[in-house]
Amino acid sequence: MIQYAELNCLSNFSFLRGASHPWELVARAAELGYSAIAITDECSFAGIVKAHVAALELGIQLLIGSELQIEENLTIIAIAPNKIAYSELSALITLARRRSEKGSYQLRLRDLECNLRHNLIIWQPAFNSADNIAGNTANDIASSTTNNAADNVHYADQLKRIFDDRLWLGFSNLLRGDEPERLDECYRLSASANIPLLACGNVRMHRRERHALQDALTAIRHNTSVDKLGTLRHGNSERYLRPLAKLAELYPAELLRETMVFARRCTFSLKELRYEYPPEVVPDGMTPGSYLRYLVDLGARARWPDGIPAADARQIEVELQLINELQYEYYFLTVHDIVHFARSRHILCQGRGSAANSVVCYCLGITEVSPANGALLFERFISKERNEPPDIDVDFEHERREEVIQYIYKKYTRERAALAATVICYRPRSAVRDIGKALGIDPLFIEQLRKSMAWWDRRAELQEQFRKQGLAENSRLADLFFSLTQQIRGFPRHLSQHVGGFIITKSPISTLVPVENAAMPERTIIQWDKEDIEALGLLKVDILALGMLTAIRKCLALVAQHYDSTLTMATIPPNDKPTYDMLCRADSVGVFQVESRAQMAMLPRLRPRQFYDLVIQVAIVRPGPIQGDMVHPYLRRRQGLEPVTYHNAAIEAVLKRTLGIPIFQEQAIKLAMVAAGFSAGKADQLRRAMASWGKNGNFDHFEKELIDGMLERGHSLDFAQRLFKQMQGFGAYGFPESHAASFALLVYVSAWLKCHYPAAFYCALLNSLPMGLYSASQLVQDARRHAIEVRAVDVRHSDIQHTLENTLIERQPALRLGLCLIENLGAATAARINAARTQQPFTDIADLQRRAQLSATQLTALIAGGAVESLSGHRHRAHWQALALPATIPLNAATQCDYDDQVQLAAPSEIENIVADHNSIGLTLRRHPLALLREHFALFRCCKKQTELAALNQGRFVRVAGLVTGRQRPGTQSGVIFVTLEDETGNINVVVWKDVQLRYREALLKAKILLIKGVLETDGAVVHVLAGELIDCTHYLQTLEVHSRDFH
Amino acid sequence: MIRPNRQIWLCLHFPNLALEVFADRDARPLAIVEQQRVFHLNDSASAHGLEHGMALNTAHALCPGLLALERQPSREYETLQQLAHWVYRLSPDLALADDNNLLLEIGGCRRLYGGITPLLDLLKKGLMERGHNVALGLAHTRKAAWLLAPQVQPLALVDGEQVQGKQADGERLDIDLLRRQLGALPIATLNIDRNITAALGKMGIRTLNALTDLPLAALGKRFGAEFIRYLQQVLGTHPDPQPPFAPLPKFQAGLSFIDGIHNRQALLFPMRRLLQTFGDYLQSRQLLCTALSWELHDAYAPQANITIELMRAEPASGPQQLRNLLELSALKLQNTPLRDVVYTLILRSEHFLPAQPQSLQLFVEEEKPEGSFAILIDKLRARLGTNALEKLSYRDVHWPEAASVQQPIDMANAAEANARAAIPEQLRPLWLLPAPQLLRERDKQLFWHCLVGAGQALQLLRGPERIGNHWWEQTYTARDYYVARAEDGRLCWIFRELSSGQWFAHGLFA
Repeated sequence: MIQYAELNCLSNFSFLRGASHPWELVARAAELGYSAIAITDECSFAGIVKAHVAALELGIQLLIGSELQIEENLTIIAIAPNKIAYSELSALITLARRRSEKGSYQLRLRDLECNLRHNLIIWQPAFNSADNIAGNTANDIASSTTNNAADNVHYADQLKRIFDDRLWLGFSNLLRGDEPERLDECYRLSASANIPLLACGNVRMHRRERHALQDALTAIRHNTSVDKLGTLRHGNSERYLRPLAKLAELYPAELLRETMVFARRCTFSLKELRYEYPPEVVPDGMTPGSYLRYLVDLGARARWPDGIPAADARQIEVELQLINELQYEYYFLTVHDIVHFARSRHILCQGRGSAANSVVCYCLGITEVSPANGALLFERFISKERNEPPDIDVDFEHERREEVIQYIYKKYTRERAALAATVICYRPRSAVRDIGKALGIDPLFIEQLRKSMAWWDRRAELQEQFRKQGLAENSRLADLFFSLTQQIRGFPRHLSQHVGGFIITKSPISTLVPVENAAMPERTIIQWDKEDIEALGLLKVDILALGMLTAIRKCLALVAQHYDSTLTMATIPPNDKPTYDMLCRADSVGVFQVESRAQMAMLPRLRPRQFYDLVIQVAIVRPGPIQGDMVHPYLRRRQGLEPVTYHNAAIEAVLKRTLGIPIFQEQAIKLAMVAAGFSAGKADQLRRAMASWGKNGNFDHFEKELIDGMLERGHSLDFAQRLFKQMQGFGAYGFPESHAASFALLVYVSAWLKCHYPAAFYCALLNSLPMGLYSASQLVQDARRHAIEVRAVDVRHSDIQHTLENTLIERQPALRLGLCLIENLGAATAARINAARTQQPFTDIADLQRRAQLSATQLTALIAGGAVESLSGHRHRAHWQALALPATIPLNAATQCDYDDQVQLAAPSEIENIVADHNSIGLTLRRHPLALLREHFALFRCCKKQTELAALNQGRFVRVAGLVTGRQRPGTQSGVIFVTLEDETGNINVVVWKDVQLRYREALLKAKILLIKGVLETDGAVVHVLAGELIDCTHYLQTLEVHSRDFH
Repeated sequence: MIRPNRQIWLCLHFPNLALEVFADRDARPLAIVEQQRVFHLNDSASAHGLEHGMALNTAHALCPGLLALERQPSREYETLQQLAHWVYRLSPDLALADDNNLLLEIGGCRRLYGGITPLLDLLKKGLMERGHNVALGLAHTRKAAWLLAPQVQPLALVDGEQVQGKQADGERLDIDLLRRQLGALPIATLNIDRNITAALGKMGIRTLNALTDLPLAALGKRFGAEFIRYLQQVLGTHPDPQPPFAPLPKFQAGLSFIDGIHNRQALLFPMRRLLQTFGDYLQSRQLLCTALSWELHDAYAPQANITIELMRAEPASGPQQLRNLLELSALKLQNTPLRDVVYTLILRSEHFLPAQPQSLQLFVEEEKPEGSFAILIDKLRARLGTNALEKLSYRDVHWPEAASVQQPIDMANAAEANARAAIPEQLRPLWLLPAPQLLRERDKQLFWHCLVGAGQALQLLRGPERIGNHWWEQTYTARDYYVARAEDGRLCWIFRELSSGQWFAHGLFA
């Protein structure tokens, strides 16, 4: 049997060139009995880790290299035989990428000469221009040359001189018809320049069945359709991994043998890469261990000024011991350094992740709340047995994260710090668009298909869509479209930057992994994503942005300013009964994480009374537990409706803290071990597969194994299937306990602030927008329902931001809306108004315009926002006056002129004012439109108010009406749409099932004001309306407007 | 507020013009779309709750079977131009107001038609025959007529005063009604700067009446002289001259098809409609045509061009001439290869002669219509004969059947624009057989029986070159091509089909 190593394969990480995933190529090569396979994506290492993982598993040798285009007629393949060569090639790719725009690269022969001193090179001489047209590289070039013989002799000499015994000639037989001439030319060059000749396959796909997709990708790249590609597409489908027997027919034996000579010279594996920490986090003269201990001691003394409690002191010792054994000191020190910087700038931050819930992190200031008040154990998250790198994500205030990022770049330099990539993949919608275009389907029809993806996994449904479009006779087109969109889904399209995953190294990063430019100026990313980094066991720090931290910092500042009370996150009293009472009432608008309608529905059921309850609360309303149908069993057990039992002691150990029901991702994985008999290694594979569920089919392989394993051990089939579904849910949105715990801290802090300092809390939230789920209008309404006085935006009183104003009688200050609400005003203008106001009160609109130097547009914006009513009366009059002002008034001219022209315009009606408020600042302090409608129309008086619903009986027929503030189709429950209606007393949750949606499609989609007839569903404090009929009442508001106008 | 003058302005408003450029519309819900928003709707789409300006997303969600078509501004413009040419014959004081409005003064010409109502009836009938829905606005100024046309309101017309039992002046404008109609117009309908409309709205001023109640000077101070002039022109207190309509020197008109037209026969109807429009044009300009051309577009690009040169200049306005031109067009069309469905049909002409004055025809020996037609056909056939010469050319694609095309020489321009001018990279025979011929295989020896009589054994010289077919058109297969030598020394191009394993001959090298 012959032996063969395929030395030229492009995967789909050579975007729009390769038509197979890297792991597909590796797996197929292993299946065919190849001795080795090289992944040589064009100027990229983005796919190699995925290939590496597959190659390790299948035991086939993986060579790492890259195809590089140097000149129009010169393309080479460089393959790294050893670690030095790998670093060289990585650095060369970095060089080529960094000097070009995102997505392209530039190289000269000179670059190779200087930089590739250890790589092995394969050169495939260009034979005619067809080589360049059909093989066209990402750096597309106009091809004009037809005869390359002279060029080839020239290149042969040059390359031989540079690479000497590291150079091979590559010949590929792709049945193009001119192979005899090509082979002759190769032999001639080989003999004249003394270069060995080997076979290589120009592989673009793992199986020939991908050829249609390959053509479609080419069409997408050329922005045309396949039938217009002409010879831009390959003439046949031979660029696949061919069986060894076929290769033996196509190539002279010595050419195949030579591939083995080449492969044997390569010994490099990605396993050799070792992460080296940045040394500067440890001061001279100290070891990482001693410095970490020093910092922890320092922190502990600050945290416990009266002496460290014995339990905590013991815990510190245990943790430091573990960190020392696993040699994670540098990691903790690096995170500490970043957090230390943030604290020095008063940027609020909070760590989360497996290692974050430790006393060490508390002492280092990485987390703010002592883990001692939760039942959380460090060892649960980090252990010697699971050799995973520790994981600490740090959230920073969203408005100031950039400062932290800039610090990292400055301290560690751009050469040594870079962001991880996120691979942007084809999703159903982008697949439909691009494949549709490649098949030449009418763009409007493609648009239509993209609108409703109901056909996505049903071929028949798609056929029906094509038939409706008058493409009935063309069922073939529908079939092709269907199969190609399914195939391209999950294909990488480009690299983008990860939200905040930093990797920081000792030597330049580019020797570890290529670095390229991101779309954002001044940003660079590495060519690996989070999973790649994890697969290689490298360490990264996630620098994330969190709006709630901004709000908390602002709130604490307001509390200090207006209540004379200095609080920090760490000094907020724990176990506060009023706070938990408030949460049990689902009074949680604005509270971190638990403000969504699903969370609000859960709060009164779960009734959190202590910190750990919040950890569960945060984690339970997630796709995992919901898809696994674990929520109701947990609630039943918690409410004592069902006994808490365990199958055996091992399972009790895993599930005890959640009453025998798996809630967290870690528990699900642990269960695979104790309930289904998975080995630790297998469980780790399961965890990885879970993370990439949806991208490939790896995860589904575990289904049978898991279920069989559980059945064998006496578990019920139902439980086993639910556990598997839960794991699928975690794949869509993994949520481990360690993260839930850190989030729960912020839930508690924000809830406590809302409970005790509501005015400051709402003010801080409003000043931190956009964040959270609620609009300014909804927050203001909620504030007023909590008896906070909200004062209108007014040029005579408002600051730039929202502020608190002291009230004479009430203990609670009033909330004054800021000029920032006025759209299109700009911060600079707001500042000018503010400065002029504090100098001297405004006397009239002309004075305002003159002293604040307002343009006509800015003045109009202020009037529209109702901010000058105290100066000029109603809006109609103010606009009339403003238009009479000269465009520019000299600063010192105290002109008096008649801005009214003796015209008295009628004042706006109440409803006109309400509408104008909404249109300009998005909220109103006047009556709610529903209150007005109720006053004028009997129809609305029949409707129950939100506050009246709770007292009504389950199953009762009700009418409700309100402004539509949300329409939501949750991914977890198929078909149902949740509509949120807002009336003058609160938000009403409406559930609209599929059949009702179809019947009232128009009202559902278009109405701004909806009247719903339906049935009340109550479950304790959770109330919603099951819609039976939807009536669009938007026109009543318009009627009211016209009405008010005519009879004013 | 209204100052009547002697002029009477008529605005012809074509509310459905965006739809009317599609020749084959039917009752399906249909939306004309511009920049992903609904621009215009037919009734059944409106019945689903779709509205002007709605995002296409929403429209599809409301009406799942909706057919969305991209707006065709150039078709609309051509159509309006051609309508103007037709109306021009009735009143020369005419202007294209904007996208879908024509304005004409009828005070001067109404007596020619026996009054305003008969004139309007004539217009409505003619426009309906041409497939257009029209709304009328009648007022004492151009701008007022323009404002009133889209409003669903009775025309402000009243019978003229009776003088001694006789109609003195026919109908005239009903000034009181006009005043009420104009006064009630919402500010939003005024054809003024959107910023001014918005500003007026913000001050609570919503109708023209409310606006004209305010002192002009105060308004002028705020909105400028141009705005005041506009108001005065609406009301008739300021002159409003317009440039006269100038007929276009070239003719161009087109129709689009929602579903596209699949066969030649079905093209005749729209061709007829366009020729009718062409006739209107020639008549209004008093011209004869000497050549015209048809352009056929597929979904994205022109696919064919048909040029007809006439031996004798045609007025193309009478039914006989229309039929002649249609038949000529049909004839040419038969010989035109159509690649794809036709989505747009355009008729152009720019070669004209001035029409002979009517009286001259008295001295011309009138040919029998049939005879002149026959002569013309003969001449054309003669020309078609010379054009029937075809040439072979190569397109830059791999699949041999698609790469080799026969083209009439006069079509070369159009076709070559589509085909990249190319020289094959690989060895290709000059002559490709009309269809591959099956080869016989005996004792591992291939024979080609049809090769000039006797079967000749073939010897493989070179190959294979593997070529895959157009998988998007048919089930995927590939062929291995070889160059082979026949016993008489001729070189053939033969292939083995991979799916069946059968051998075929496909060409001969010269």
